[in-house]
Amino acid sequence: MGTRSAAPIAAVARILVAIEPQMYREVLAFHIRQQRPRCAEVVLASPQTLLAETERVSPHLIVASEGFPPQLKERGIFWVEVHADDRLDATISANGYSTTIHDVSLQDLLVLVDKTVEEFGHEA
Amino acid sequence: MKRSSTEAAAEGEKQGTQRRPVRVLLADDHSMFREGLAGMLASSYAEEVEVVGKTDTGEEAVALAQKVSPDVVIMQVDEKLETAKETLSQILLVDSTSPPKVIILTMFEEPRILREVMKLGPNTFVKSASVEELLSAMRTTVGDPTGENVVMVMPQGALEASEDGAGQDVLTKRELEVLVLAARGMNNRQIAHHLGLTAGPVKRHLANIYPKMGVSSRGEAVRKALGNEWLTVHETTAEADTNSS
Repeated sequence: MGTRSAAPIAAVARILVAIEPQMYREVLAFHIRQQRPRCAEVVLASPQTLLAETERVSPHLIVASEGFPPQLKERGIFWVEVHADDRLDATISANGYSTTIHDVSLQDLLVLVDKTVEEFGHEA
Repeated sequence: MKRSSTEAAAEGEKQGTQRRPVRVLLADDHSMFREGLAGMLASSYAEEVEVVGKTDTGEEAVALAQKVSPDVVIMQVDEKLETAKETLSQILLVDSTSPPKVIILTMFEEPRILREVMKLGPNTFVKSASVEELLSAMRTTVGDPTGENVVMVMPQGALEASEDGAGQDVLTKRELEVLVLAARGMNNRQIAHHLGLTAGPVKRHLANIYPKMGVSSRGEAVRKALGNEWLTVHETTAEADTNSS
């Protein structure tokens, strides 16, 4: 009936997951929701709906496959560009710094989720 | 996501049978997906699926298949097609009386390659699907007692192209679009943006185009296409058609 818990409400970061193929984004979204349930709100998008969903959701972190529109990288948010070749490599941009991780893991991305919450959670 | 395991259990109860989970071996060299899918299956589908092994190499997949005798091997096939062929054929020989069912996952779009992989005898072939669709395909595969049926989960266009023979040496419509844009001097990222794709599929289209044309580079492909008049100068110099996507 709309009652609220007395527990403090955790800061929530909005995360847009748009990697291809669909199974990959479902798996990543599942683990973020499961392991950071009070910290992150996760929205899924396909590469085709990425721009529209970015406008709708105003995410703090975008995780997308390589080639996602460059204008999204200029919004002052964190982003991850995933390259699917022999291994899954990821270029991560956060706080003005950029790094590439070879064979990116779930744990790598959860660390970035935590940093996103630290940086943007208070705005949510 | 709990629905499926609950439904499976309920179905088992209704039939008066105690179903054991399907024992699955995951062979995929993308750590995030391999570990993530294993965790997701253990967390949300434990009554239905038990992941009995995970590996990122073909050699270890064969060794694990011998050691743990999985019911199903879920295997990613990427550009290293010859390695995948070798691995798959060895997995199917692990147990001559009851080999594991093999589910191939792939990002390939090239009909010729799809056909080559299917000839190896996987029971199931999954492309561009959701996790729920993968599990649905697995249920169908496991439920096929003879293993004579092949379960296909892929977009209709890809299925039709793989069936109609298009693609042995003929460029698909999409490959031709990529070639035209490459001939206009666009890089992979620009081509991807123009076609509403990501750069990965563009790279794969180009990788498919080269062997079909008997060339080994983008420049060579463009020169050959122009020389054989597969492309016209007008096509290679025309303004980008904003409606083509």
